Amino acid sequence: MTNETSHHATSAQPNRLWYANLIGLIVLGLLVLAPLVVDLHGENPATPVELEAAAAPDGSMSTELADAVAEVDKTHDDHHDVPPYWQIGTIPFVLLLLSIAVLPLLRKTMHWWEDNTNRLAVALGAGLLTMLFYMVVDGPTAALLAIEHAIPGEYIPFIMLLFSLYVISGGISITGDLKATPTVNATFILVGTLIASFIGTTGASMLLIRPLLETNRERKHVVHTVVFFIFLVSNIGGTLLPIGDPPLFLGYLRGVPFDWTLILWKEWALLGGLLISVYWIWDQIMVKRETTLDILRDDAIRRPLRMSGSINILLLLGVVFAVALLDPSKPIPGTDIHAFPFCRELVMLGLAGASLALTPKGIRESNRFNYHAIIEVSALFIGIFLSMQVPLAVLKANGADLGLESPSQFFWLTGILSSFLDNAPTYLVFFQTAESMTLEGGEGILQLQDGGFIREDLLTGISLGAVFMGANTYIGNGPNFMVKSIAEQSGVRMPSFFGYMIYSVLVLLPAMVLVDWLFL
Amino acid sequence: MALKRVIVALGGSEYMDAAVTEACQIAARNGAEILGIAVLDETLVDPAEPSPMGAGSAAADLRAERRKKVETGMSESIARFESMVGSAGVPHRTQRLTGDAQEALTDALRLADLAIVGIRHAFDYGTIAHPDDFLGRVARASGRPILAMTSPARRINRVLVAYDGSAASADALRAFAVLNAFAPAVVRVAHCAESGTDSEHLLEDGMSYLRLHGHTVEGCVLDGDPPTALLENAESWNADMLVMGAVGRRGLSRLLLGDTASSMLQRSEIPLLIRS
Repeated sequence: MTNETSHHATSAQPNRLWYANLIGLIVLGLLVLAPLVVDLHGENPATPVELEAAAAPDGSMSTELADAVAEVDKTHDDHHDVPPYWQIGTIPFVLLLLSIAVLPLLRKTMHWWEDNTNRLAVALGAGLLTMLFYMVVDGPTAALLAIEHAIPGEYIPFIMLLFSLYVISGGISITGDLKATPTVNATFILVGTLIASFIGTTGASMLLIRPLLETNRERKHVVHTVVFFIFLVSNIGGTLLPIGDPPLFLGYLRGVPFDWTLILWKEWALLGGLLISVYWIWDQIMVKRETTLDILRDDAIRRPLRMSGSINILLLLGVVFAVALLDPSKPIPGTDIHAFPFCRELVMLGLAGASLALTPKGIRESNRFNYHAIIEVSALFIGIFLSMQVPLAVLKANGADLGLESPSQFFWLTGILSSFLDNAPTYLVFFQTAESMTLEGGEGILQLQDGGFIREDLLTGISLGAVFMGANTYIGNGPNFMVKSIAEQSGVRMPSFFGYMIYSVLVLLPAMVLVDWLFL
Repeated sequence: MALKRVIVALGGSEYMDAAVTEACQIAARNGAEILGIAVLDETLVDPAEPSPMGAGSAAADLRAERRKKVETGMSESIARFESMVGSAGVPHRTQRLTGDAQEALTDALRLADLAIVGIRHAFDYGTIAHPDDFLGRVARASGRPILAMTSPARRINRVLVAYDGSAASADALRAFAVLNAFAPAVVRVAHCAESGTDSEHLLEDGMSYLRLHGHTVEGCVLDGDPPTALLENAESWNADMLVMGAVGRRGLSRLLLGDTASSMLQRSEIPLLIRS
């Protein structure tokens, strides 16, 4: 009977996912097409300048004209400042975040929430409510502008990057079983930290966790190894490029130059070096606690490391170049050609397709590759990006009044929120706040795509907080939990939610204080 | 008081065979029936837990895999139990339960006289272990004696009873005597010396009650940290079973003072009869 029920469950899964896919695709198509079909920017009412130009040459205006100017000024403010009744408008965003946090915790809803169709329904519900809100308070144009901003502007490039990285890195497999010495384990973590910026923290984690666990199979004390792996490979390693961690990519979409994150190398190198040293000493102590028998067995069972699917490394490099070079808002470096809209996304899709076609059979099976994670992220983020438009608009107008000033404040606030919420929306919230504080360019100030400006020191605090402190809990970053799951499936007794936090409070928190003290 | 129903936990661990063997011996000696219980502990196997975006499927897969493993383990354990009890010719029933293991075991004990459970790994079937004081909690919630079984099962000849004059230790001592489930050759009552208590007097109280039940009794006073002293004494004397009260200390006092029963449950290599 046991077999029957479980068989049934697995065979039903792909069906439901297929529906989720289809609904998602249709909705996405409509959302992309809507702003393209309606010419939003042509519908804008005449600007005050045009109206003033229409006034008599001596500058005097008829009363009607003066009224019209005032009227346009008012609507102009409405569009670019806070939408009226914004308190109501932010409710869907808050509800969505609450659903993501609470629904998996209630016994009544936990299994319902496991279905991606239901996740998509909740996310779209929140998005739809937000658009309805815009429609009611600001008219249909405002709603379409918000959709244009959220979907083709942010959601599609974001998901395409995650999708292509996910598919391509899922086609590489490293197998082998080395002797589990502290130096070998530390080298694994070091390599992961070095490559995470180029292939994304999720890709690096999935690539290296299996051979690391295989190497440590004969050892009894493995938990600290997995925990430091999560700290460094699943989080901190991804600091250096927008490809490394999703929030940095959102910054890039907002106009932060592709290579800007490279200036964070000092913080990245300090934490990497420090934590790997701590790990190495820790593992020296733990390896002494293993029984002689286990050490002998570990020594006896060895296989050299082998990598298969290496064609995907080239494809990953392709993604890096696509992101670095094909920014539609700038000319391709060295030329004056602008990439056409979505050129970057098409290239990334093509590279993902090439990976699917070229990866030898069997590699994805051995990686237990499936689309569940990326579908889940796509389903939820469509709602997050849509419903975020209202809080972002509010922050854009009023963020400067929040009283946040120093990079340290941004570092800790972004970090603490990123420990418990997803770091991508958290990053955007503080990014928008920082952007609202700077009104003109200058030294140490970046100009952004929407014409805004952001102070580099604040951006440093936000970026470091979002990337580093995602490591604080299992829920701070997607790969944390995936690594925990894989470790548990191969027999490591991973600590509970709070058990893990003991490690992060003891090890990461002091390291964060050090980063703050030295760099911010 | 006669012992008429023994519960045995079918936990699938290395202790299960010993627990079933012991249950068969006790049931045969007393003309009792055995109730075998297998529990799918949802709070451990299928917990409601937070997961980050993108890892919800990984979490669901992990839970599904754990559940499958537990269900398979339960079926195997039940089959093994039935073949063992069947060949011993003892009347028996089995129950397959889902829910919180502590509640399930406590409920089942309402109309039963004794539960025999593997000393560590109660119902985890090779997945996540229960907390260290799981059996202590069941003992306190049910008020019934629990035999925390080690492996392999052995003939119980020498029984070491820890008695400190507390209500819980007296209850444990009395439960052991009244149940009359074991037929030991000799029972030693041990008291861990504390300043200000009359050790000799306490020992005599305990021993005289056991003598009334027809046991051959001796007494001894131990020094030092109770769990360590008891375990060392049990080892040097070759005890086959330990009897002790399960007083629950919780929170800060447990952290500071320790909980003798929990610590014994973690460390003991011989069966432990506890009662609160």
